[in-house]
Amino acid sequence: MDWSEQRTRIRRFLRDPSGNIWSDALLLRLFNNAQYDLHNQLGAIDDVLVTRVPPMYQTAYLHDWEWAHNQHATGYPYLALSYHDQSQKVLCYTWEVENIARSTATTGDPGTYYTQPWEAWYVDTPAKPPPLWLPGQFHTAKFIAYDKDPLEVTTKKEVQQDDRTWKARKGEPFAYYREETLENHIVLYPTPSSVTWVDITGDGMLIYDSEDTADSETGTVIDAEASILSQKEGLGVDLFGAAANLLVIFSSNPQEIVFDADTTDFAPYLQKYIEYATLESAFRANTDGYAPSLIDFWETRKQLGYQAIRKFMQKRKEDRDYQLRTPVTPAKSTRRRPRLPDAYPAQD
Amino acid sequence: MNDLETNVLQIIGEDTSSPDVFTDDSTGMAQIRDSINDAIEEVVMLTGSHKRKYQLSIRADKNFYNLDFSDGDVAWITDVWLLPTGRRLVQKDFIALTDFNPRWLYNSATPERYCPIGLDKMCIHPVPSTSTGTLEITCVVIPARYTTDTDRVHLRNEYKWAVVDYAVAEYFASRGDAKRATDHLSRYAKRLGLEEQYPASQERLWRLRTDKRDNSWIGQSSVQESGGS
Repeated sequence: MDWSEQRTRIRRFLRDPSGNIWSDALLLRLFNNAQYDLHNQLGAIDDVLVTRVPPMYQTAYLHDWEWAHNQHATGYPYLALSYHDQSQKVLCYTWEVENIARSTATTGDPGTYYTQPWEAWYVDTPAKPPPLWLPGQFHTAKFIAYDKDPLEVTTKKEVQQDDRTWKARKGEPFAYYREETLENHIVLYPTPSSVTWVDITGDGMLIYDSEDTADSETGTVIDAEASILSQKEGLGVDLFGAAANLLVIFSSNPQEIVFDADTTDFAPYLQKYIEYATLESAFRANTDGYAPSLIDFWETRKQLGYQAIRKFMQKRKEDRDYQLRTPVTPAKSTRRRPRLPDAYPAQD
Repeated sequence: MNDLETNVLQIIGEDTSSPDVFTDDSTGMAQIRDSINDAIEEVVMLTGSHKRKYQLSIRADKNFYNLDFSDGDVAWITDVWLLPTGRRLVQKDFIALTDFNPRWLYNSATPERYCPIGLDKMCIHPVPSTSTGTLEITCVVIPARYTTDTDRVHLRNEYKWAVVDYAVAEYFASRGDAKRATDHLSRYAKRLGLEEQYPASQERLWRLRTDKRDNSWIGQSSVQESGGS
């Protein structure tokens, strides 16, 4: 169900099909808020993604005001260089800061600055480690691997404490850190010393095929319309392999609904719980439709739904095997004992 | 209209032979069908009463797969069987996998375990070395919403009245009658075993006690009271 269909259902229960009391904009805001509510009940929505390395950003921008004018809704913009607050200029190198301040401009940077992160592997030494983008609704990582090797999580502080040359350090990545949570990107430490360059056509890994509809938010699963191998056949099409790329298994936030044709990220059988929370909030709003009895009813319905969801989340683990053990107890072996063939001894 | 819809209309007072509001067509029945479908989804979500098998051909060097049923949505996986090897794959999560072998992505052999990812993806480990073999994945599947009278309703008989109560509750809620809606919703919750928000059992005080005056385990004993004259 897309947003327009869900809105119709919500309006049916509000008895306001024409929007005389509750506007579409209000319902949309309440709905998006209710999505976060459900997300808290359900826990994470997990997903898997492969991000190519070097990363491809759709645009780069310098000033904050430019962000609204680039394709941030459909791609990944990169904030390049450094903004100098005192002069309100964008600067490249540290000596420029000193020059503006009329100091002796002598401080050198460890390497070369870039405006697109992939350039970090084109120069001899990048001046700062390049970021790798994560999907827009990224919340937390469950497992991250670079070139199939797992990465530990660390912090920039820990990296700086142990390594004076962290900015330009190259090698085999073994950790990653996230500088801030507003921007959905991580930084590998150390920066991979070499990468595999990708051609759009020809052999090797593809960014996309000319007949495919690929968007920047997918990696492992791409809708390859021209291919029989698509997600509809139940196969994950690794147009990007995990080798020499970043594999991310993560929990995601729900994406906000904006347009009528947008569909919530939740499974269809969970979407009604968002509607219940929306209805409760709508009746609670200080409008002509304020109705305490209906607030109670929809709140009860919502809470019953959340209970159902909690039971559902427990049932999802019913195929697990549980074993009581101490630290020294070996884990249960999954290998079967050797057994004779069913037809033994051979029947003549 | 099917028997669920008929029962709902009868309870809300609609003439089932010649309905005024909820006419026997897709437009007239839309609200009732929506409610019934919502209830069926929740019943299956709670009871796991509808399972289907998903046959997935495994590919060499592919760990991750989608589970994309054409007629419903995956709720959870109940078992995974590998053919032709004849092996049950064990469910794990990524913590267990990383504990088993931090470089688990490099392992290549006949799959032994799987990890569900989200609601409709899974990862198998080790990664298959050849593109042979099929996984028979049994899943609880939330059935697709029925749209016509003749569509099959994937619901056990013992839950049918719960579903009817649910649809009736939503009908009264859509009319603004919160009291009747709550009544029917309570009945629905009881039939499904969903506790209400303030269950009566929480107000009970349970305690263990013995009755030390009960001497029946040592046989009859009579206690003679000395009586005074």
